[in-house]
Amino acid sequence: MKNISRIIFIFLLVIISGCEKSFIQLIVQQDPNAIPMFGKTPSREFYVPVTISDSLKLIWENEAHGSFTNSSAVIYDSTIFASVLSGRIHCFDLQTGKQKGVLKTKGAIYSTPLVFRNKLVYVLCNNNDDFSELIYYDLYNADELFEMRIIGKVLNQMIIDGIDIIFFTENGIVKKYSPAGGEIWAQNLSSKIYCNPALFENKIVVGNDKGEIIIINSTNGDLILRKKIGKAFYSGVTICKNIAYIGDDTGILYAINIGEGKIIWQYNTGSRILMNPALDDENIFIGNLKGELFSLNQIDGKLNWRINYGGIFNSTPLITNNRIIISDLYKSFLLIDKDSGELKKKFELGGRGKLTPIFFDNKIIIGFDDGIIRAYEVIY
Amino acid sequence: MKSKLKYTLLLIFFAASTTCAQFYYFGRNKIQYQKFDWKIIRTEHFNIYYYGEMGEMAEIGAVYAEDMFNELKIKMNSVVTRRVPLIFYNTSNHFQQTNITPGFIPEGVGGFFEFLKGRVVIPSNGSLQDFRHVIRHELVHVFMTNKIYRVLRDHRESTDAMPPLWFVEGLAEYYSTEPDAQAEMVMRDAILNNNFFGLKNIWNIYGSFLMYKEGQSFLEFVEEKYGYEKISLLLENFWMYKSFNDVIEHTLETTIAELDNEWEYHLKKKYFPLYSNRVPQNIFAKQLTNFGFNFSPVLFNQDDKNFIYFIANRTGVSSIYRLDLGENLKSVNDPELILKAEQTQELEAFHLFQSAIDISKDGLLAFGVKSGATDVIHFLSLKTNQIVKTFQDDHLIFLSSPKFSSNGSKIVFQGVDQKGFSDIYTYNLISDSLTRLTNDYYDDRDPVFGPNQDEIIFSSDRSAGKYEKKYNIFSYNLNSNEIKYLTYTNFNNYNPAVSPGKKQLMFTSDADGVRNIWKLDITNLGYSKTLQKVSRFLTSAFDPRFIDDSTIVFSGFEKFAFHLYLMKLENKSDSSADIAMDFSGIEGIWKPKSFDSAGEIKKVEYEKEYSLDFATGVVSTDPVFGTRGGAQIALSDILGDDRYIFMLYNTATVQSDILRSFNIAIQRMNFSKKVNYGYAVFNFSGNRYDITESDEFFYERSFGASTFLSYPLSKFNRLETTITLMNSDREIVEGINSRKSLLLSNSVAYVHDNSLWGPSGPIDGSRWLFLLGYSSDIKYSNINYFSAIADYRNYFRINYTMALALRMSLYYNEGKESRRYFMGGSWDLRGWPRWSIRGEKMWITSLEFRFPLVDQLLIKLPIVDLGFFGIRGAAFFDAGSAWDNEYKTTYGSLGAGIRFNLFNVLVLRYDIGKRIVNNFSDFQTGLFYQFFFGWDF
Repeated sequence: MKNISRIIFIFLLVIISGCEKSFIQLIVQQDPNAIPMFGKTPSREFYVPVTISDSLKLIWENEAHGSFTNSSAVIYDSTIFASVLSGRIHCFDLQTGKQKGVLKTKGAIYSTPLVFRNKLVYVLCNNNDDFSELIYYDLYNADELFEMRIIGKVLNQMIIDGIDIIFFTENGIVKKYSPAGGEIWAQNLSSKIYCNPALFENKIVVGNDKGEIIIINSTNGDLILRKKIGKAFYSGVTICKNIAYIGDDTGILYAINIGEGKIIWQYNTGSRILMNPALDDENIFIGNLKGELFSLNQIDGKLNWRINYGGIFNSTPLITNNRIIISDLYKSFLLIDKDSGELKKKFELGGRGKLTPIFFDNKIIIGFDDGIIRAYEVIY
Repeated sequence: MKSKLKYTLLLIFFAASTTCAQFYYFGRNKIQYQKFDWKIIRTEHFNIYYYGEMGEMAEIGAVYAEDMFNELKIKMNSVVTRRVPLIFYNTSNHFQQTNITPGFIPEGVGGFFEFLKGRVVIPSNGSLQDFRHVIRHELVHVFMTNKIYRVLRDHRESTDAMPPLWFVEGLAEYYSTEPDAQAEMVMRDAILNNNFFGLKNIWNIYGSFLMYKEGQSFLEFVEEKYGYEKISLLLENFWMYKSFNDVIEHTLETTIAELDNEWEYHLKKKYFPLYSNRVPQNIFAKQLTNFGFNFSPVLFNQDDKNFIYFIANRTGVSSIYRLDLGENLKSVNDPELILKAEQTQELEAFHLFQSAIDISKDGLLAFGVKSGATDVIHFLSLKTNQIVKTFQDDHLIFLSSPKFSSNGSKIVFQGVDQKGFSDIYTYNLISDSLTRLTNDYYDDRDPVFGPNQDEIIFSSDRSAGKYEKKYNIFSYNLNSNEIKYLTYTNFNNYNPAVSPGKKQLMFTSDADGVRNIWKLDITNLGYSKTLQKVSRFLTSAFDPRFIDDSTIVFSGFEKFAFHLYLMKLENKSDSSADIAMDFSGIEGIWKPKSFDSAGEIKKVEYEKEYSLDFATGVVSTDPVFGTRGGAQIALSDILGDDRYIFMLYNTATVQSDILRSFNIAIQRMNFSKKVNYGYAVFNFSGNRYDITESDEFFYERSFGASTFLSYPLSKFNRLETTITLMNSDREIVEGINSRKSLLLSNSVAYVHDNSLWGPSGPIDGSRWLFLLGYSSDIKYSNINYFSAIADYRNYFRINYTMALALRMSLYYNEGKESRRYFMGGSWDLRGWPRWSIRGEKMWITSLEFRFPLVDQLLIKLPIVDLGFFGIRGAAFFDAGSAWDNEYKTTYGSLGAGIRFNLFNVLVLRYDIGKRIVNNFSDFQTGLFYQFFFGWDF
């Protein structure tokens, strides 16, 4: 009888803990150094001007109970936020890795959540019907502020435009919402969008699955340019100095002047590109599914080096002054010499390397299969 | 049927791992004719298992596999992180011996991917292109299952879902090969003959070759209309919906109905214009057969009558037939069966799609057939209808397409050796000598003697230079050993045949998309350099053979069947279709791609690595025994040769009984050699209910060991023996009435089975078993009896679907405490209560007429259509009896029933009839109705 009572007690405990409401409650301070969205800025920057050593020390590992897309985590006020395809958002302490909160939802979260002004904004894709829910979450009160139902699935990355947010649905609807959850404008592009858009000086640039490059005015949603330049775009746009860089599904990397809509140069990498190009001050770095990484001159697209590392690169690398840090689907992440392409160090992972690495406070955050997040400290 | 319920656990134990038995104690044998000395090549992503002399072929396959790995990781944006086991066999004959799958592998299976352990098993058939294609095809399965698993797991969805089979196989074909003449032939035929099934109705052709090709065609259509990238997107989006049709609709933004319309229109637009300059085979040629799959016709004039001999599958087994052409070259009768294969070891199986036959001027019919470990070439005298000579060489595993020289003293044929190389050989019937003409990795096939008997003409993929790897026609000079191109085209040319007047060389070519008949003129100067088109059929023609200089006979594909056709040659061919050949592009030879550096591969010795096959836990509850729980674990090595099964469960109904109710068994079975053997140790204890002993209920603890040995004499016959030593301690009334024994049981049996199965049971061939056994209590002398079983079943085929089945069985136990047999119920003596007739001696006979009732039943429901196939009927008569010491009465029944095959897993049976009662003198009043499941006897 005593044993049965114990079993019932444990059983009830499991049931109750399973029914517990998930929440994230944080008091976050304004953080000018934060990485509030995928690529840090609306134009997508994957460059950190630091010089790192090849000596990395694993300082913590935690689990987000799901799987990552080819996105990244975000960091705000020393807290890491990571979303997974099983519909959860976890937040961890940057220093210790301790979980600070979790939101459990039903659906899939593809887009990296946005964190700004005490708000967490994320989009939840419904599993069996073709709609998503845009959710504004108040971190201070641990409660939902708004929830908007959107037709279509949001499978790419959102943009913070000042205090507003912009997102694209898979079926080609682009919308801009205010902090109060009001729709500012909407535009129907009537084509499938899987590409990560970028924003630079009021111009949103995105590619669609027809191989068209599309430029939209971020102020009013007006279409500025729509031009077919390649094959389907499943990758992402990175903008630097009025030049948008994007790779297509056949492996051609384009540099496009977004003022005129003209292709400045193009380079054929020979295999599918799914990542955003990463830039430093002079060069552009792009990898493909063949496992090759390319370093090209930003101005003329001239090849600096190309090396096949044998894996699969589909998430965007992080660039530092001396190294490229890139996740490999073949269960590792690599430290590569930026100037020569020489592989400096390979770190084995327990699963497929997924997240774009981020660097913050001398730590590199890596994410791989089954929602495992690791923080490595750079040892000098 | 045997009254050994006490040993049920042991029987289940053996049954779970006995590969050869299809059902119960019958079943054909999967024979390991030789022990393979397995070796391993380790590459970056694969463990390649090979044996014997096929190291070179294995290395070539390893390169193909690595190339495909790198292709698929890009196409599917996915990577398989484990090392994939690829198991290569040098021919399909050896492949059919694999223990990786317990079932029999039918002729024509090109390879398979085994989902349980992710093993890929592939034979080489001598063609590197086919080898490459199958490796690629199976690796698509590996990547696709990995991708689907990852997508579902990433979204925390259940990972047991898979796309429908048409997509699985269509994707494998789409990613592994280019559209070829075979795919074109099948799709043209489907569209032009109204045999096309869209996505909505594709379940109608589930598992068929047409389904593979429709799947491939659909994906080609998606690529053309919606973009190449949408194919991989279908996999990425797989998690989104439960129904794969919904995934398609979401990804392509259209409905299935609209897609079907668009796809069908696309194909019709492509194929309907062909009618303007091409003809169906039965318009331009005379169709000689109207049923089955008919191949390789060859003319023979016997007693001034023209006969066509050919190989065909018209009854479910491949055989040689003869067709009387009559005086006007019109078939006058149905084909006559000459030689039936697949019933004896001498004629185990024809390679229907790969081989051809020939007849010498003296009336000797040569044909290749599988016979035991290798193929043989038999020579059948058409005068006596007897096989008068047989050629076999241990080094040649596969033999195909023998063709006679003009004087009949030699044959030339294609053979695949231990290395997996397909080459040309001649065999002198008089001197009994074999000569190898070619020896390389090129696929040399379809050889014939040329107009000059010093010349062999054959088809080969040895074409080099501009048209590298294309099958062209070559000649081999027997004096100089020189090989020359006779054709040099960017097409695939096969089946050369020289006209009786030696003025024409006929062959098939896929120059216009499918295989049509073309020719080269032969003059004093040699072979013409212009291909002339002979036929302009919509679908493919195969194996053209001359009747005379102006008439040919061939096998053609139309309406998803292969028939024989007779065609008059036109005096003047259409010169606008002529193709002038330019031989200037020939350059050197081609070599298969190899690894860039030796460091990319590592050769290691094979060592057995055991891994889990399955682990199951079971908890069951019933009113008699209460709740029981247990587990079973099975392990085997990577090649499936050696298996271990561990079983543990407890039958205690109260806590105090736990310790004395453990049941444990460990068994090992080994299939690596011709002799299969196994042994087990066991401890079974708990409450038992024995139906054979007047419904006794008792506690028993038995422990002991058992061995099993099976020696296959051929695919159809085997000797079996079992020895069991068991200590039994039985409490019939607890603490009062007990029986102890140390039982030694042994039996030896001869088993035969060459039956052919229809939807509900055997319809052709025979099955029989003779068993002698002896059981003795060697310690207490409580038990001592012998057993004899004679079970004979014969199936008389009436036509393709109807058969008369006969069973005569006698079961006999005699001695102290001999076990009782039992019968009654749907499986044996129908109409009588199940297992109600019991005795130490028993006989039963049955006569059953099996016939088709409904071939296909379609039920259209508002949401989904349901289709049921192979509903069969039976009219039966049973008689039998069982007794202990004195014969008492004879039981019987007669009636009719219906059998319903449920997904080839289960047959539901419903019988109505009358019992014959009162010692076989009266019918029962009214009728009996009996519903159960199980296959026909």
